[in-house]
Amino acid sequence: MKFEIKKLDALCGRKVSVYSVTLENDNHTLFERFILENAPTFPGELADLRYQIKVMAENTGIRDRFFEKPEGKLGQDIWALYDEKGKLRLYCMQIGHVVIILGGGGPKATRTLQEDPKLKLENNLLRMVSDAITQRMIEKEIRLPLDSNELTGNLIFDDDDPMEVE
Amino acid sequence: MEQTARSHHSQVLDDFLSLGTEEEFARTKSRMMLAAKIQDAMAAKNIGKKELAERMGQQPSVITKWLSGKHNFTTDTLTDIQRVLGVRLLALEEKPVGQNVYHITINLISPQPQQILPPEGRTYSLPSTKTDMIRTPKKNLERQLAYA
Repeated sequence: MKFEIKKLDALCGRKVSVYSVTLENDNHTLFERFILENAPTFPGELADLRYQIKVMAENTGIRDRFFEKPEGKLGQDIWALYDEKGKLRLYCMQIGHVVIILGGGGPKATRTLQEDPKLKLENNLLRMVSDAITQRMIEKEIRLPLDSNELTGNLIFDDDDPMEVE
Repeated sequence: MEQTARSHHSQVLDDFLSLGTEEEFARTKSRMMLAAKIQDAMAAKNIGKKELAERMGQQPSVITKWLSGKHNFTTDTLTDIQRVLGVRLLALEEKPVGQNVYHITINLISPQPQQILPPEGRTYSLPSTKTDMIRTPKKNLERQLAYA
């Protein structure tokens, strides 16, 4: 799976840096795909997510309680940001409470993630990204320097492994 | 120099950033900052969600909602949380409008000391006490610093 972690400067603040992921042959990040998919139907919910991201980035920092409980295997920092009415889920990866990597998501129509093919796909995709980033952090190819909220190192993933999204 | 992520900009992101209103943003900000302040106060007093729920006579799920940053608190609820956690969430002290506090740092050590003198025949006037100086609004201070 080939992808790159890109920084979304416009969403960053003094407390949190915001990133997203571009997959091979796609100019849009996963987060932009999420916006494009949901803007026509859920503009108010998207606005609510915007407020939350900006407040975390600038004022409160990342707080686990602002998110839904982790989904996925233990150790994978995949969380879901949701709007006030609970209609939309935006999957994110947190690193050290100072970095957030925004993935995709969608409207929550079913009780569990497993019942919704779209949300399951988006969650699994970000889990794969999370696994790859975590591995590079273990190998110290990607670092989060102390007292910093900026990822450094090799953020381009050129692995030729086929993508195996469940 | 360490390699960092490439920056990404787009019209889609710009459009996203223009969604909503300033009023709604301000409300969300208040809710999230109150939640963060309550969470910090709980951590400082080593009080968990369950204990706070008991002390407040609430279900733990209510505390979860408070800490989610999405709860629209009533004044009564904030007053009760203040009492239980000993934290100030409402600023109700009376304070005259326009009274500002300015912090002034005076560097007493200079590698090249310079004597700043007013023009001939004039003198500087400074606030008489440290308290006066701290509490003097900037405009008044400028006025007092002006040539006598």
